[in-house]
Amino acid sequence: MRGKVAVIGVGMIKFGELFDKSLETMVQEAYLNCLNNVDKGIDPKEIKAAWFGQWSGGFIGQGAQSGQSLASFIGNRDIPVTRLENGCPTGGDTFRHACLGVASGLYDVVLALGAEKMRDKPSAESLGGAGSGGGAETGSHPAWMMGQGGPAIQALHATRQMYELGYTMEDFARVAVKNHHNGTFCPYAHYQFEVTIERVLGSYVVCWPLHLFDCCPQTDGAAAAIVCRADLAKKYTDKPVYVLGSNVGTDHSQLWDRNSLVEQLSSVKAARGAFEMAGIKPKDVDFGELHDCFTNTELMNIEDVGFARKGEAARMLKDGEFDMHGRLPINPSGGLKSHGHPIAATGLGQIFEVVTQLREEADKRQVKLKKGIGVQHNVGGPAFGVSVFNILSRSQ
Amino acid sequence: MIGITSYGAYIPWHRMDRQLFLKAWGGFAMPGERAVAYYDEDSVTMAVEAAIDCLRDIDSHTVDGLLFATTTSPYKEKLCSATMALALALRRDIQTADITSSLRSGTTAMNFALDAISSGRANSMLVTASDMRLSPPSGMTEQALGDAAGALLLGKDNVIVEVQGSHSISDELAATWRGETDTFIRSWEDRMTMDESYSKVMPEAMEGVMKKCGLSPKDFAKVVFDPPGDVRRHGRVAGELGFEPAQLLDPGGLFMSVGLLGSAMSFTMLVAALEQAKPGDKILFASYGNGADAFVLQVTDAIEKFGERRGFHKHLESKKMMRSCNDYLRWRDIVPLDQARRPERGHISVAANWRERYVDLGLWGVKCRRCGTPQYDYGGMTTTPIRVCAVCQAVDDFEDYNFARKKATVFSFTHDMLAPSLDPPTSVAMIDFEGGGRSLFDLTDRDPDQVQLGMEVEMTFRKVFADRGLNNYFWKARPIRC
Repeated sequence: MRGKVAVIGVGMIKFGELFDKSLETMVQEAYLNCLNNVDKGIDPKEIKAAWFGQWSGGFIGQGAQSGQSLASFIGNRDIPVTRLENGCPTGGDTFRHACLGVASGLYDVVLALGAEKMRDKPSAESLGGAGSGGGAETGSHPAWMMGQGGPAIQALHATRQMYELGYTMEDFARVAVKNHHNGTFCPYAHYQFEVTIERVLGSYVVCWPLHLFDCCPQTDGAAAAIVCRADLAKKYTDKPVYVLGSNVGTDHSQLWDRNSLVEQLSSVKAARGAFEMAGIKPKDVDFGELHDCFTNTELMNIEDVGFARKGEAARMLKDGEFDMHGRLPINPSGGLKSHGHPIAATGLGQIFEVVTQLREEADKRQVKLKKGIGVQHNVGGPAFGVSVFNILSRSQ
Repeated sequence: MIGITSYGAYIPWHRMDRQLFLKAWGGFAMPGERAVAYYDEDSVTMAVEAAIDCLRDIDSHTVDGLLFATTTSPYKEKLCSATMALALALRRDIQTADITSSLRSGTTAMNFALDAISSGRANSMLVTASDMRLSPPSGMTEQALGDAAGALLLGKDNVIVEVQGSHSISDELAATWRGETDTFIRSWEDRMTMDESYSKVMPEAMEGVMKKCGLSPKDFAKVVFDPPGDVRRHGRVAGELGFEPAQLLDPGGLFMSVGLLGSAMSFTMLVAALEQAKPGDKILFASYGNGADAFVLQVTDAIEKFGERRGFHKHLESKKMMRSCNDYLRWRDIVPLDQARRPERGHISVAANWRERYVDLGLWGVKCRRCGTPQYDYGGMTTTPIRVCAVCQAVDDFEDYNFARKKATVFSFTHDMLAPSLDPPTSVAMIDFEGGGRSLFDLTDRDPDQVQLGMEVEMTFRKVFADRGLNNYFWKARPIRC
């Protein structure tokens, strides 16, 4: 697939608590933004297939949204559309499947769109439901203990990071400080305010040792990308972005089967495979959008995908290496910490950011490009056992 | 020889100073403390605890029957002892029965068990008595009651206490009752019921069994019988029968430390007495409730080699004092509470619970024969056979492996303030079992400030939640109790 697929347009909506917007209106807005983003223009009829990232139908009480929902929402019912759900990596994996559709030779131009309505539920209920796998209700199974939502699972990791790696709550808080700062420059972010270490550590404990500001918010959102055959890209845009590598990594579906809680092997495998496909190394990357659903998770991700040795991310963060103008900017968009985590929209929102940065259109949050390569990463699902890693470049 | 071959007891970790009732309601506080079952406990889980204590060094497959005695069965229809049999890893070809509705259901069950053994239908019967009675808030009875369980194993081999005789009286009187639609117990005026029933029926049963065995009060090292609502009446009855105070197992001590334990009272008192008993001791044992059952017991030499139990005294010493009466009201779901904005609980699937009954109720996992890894994910007891090893991919090569009695250490933990709980935070621990195997469990009976990595824990059978009248039971981890 390396170099065979190009992104010609990306679009997203401002993430937030969009009480006045339905799934349908969010999808349409992201889709129209995406069409408008194709700078030389595109006839919607040129899109020959689509993948619809949609994680939970249960949250909106209207059941699971199948492929035809997207076809219907965008008024294009003559193309195949497949709904895709793959835990928190749903968005990144929806993008990957659109790329596979082009790389297979079957389609020239396809659409990947992810949307999630999280806030038709009160935030705590939304978060609790997210832990249960997207239903509107949590486990009826006797073995389903209440403390099994995302925060509790990541808190179990954080406890081990503190014990094994010597990380502190202050180290975790520094991730929030950095990403909130970056988020103030991103017009699409849910949160656009600064936080201090003191404010993070002074916020109430959600799941010890994680505080409120260690967690990303519950947010509505939608984002999309149009990809095409690389050799056709210049017809649509002067600034195509090419897909160099793309991979999904998996691990145990039960947390307790994993040997380590300071490493998520799903991320390790996803990144390793994508780098192999791309034929590049982590040091060749200019910046990354990594899945910071919780602050401790970002530190783990930085290490797992190969940007730092295990146990060194906290120090490198403290030294400013991952700042927007540091050696390797991580989450210049503000990440999930600022944008929130509308599950299926998250990954495509990160793709939006990576493409925008590579086109040097990121305005005040523009990072410095050296090799012109950026990466997108999600990790999640039960026991954080599934991860997606996409490598994008401005040159083929 | 037929008699008691083992005993066990259980007292919940939480205790409430009766002064807290005074602070909450005003009026008058009785002296002492009462035992309070945690929000995830009920008469079934406490009976399982007492039974585990009783079976501590005994092969559960030698047990031929299980009787559950209580006045507070969680079900009007559905057998609790069948649930308990899975938690205790008993055989399938056994008699299980719930003996309910009477405060002397424990001794009634004991009589049935003795009959089953003497008839040759069973060699070994496990009898549990457990109660968690509810009285309307703010009354004296609320202060007086306590939650606990006791267990006796009866059999023919290795008898530590021989049962030499028994005598029963039936007596019709509504001293205490709970109607079909009642949540709380009701009772008639104390003095009338004690004068006309307890004070007459208890001596009748005890004199009856002494006469049958040709014994008189001076022949007994100990007299163990449960008190009525007014504990002072117990001593008066004993005195009138001709017993000296030194012969009595004084229920006043229990009242001051745990409360009146319902159908568990007689067994708990007997366990407390047996912990001090010496070979050759004769014990007169009786229990009251719509009549009375009395027994002549004789302690044998085997009691000197009897293994370690937590029993009454160790459980008594291991305790956590509660902060307020509000906690008690919350745990019992007695007052309507502000509801956390959390996802609705799904409904219990009877099909899924049945399919995984050994896994969930018995805590059965598997051990891979090829790589030797114990695994708790699924499988166990061949009902839902695991086909592929999660570690080495071996196919269909497992043996059943039980985690319920294994100790473990905390590998990681969190205190979840978000998860709805009747006593937040929800403490969650990933634990490593001794001998291998790792899993994630709620941590109960814990002081959140004391939880740390490497802490030793053990498994305890608890009620996770209820749905449409059905209880979901499962196991939790707790710091080693004592």
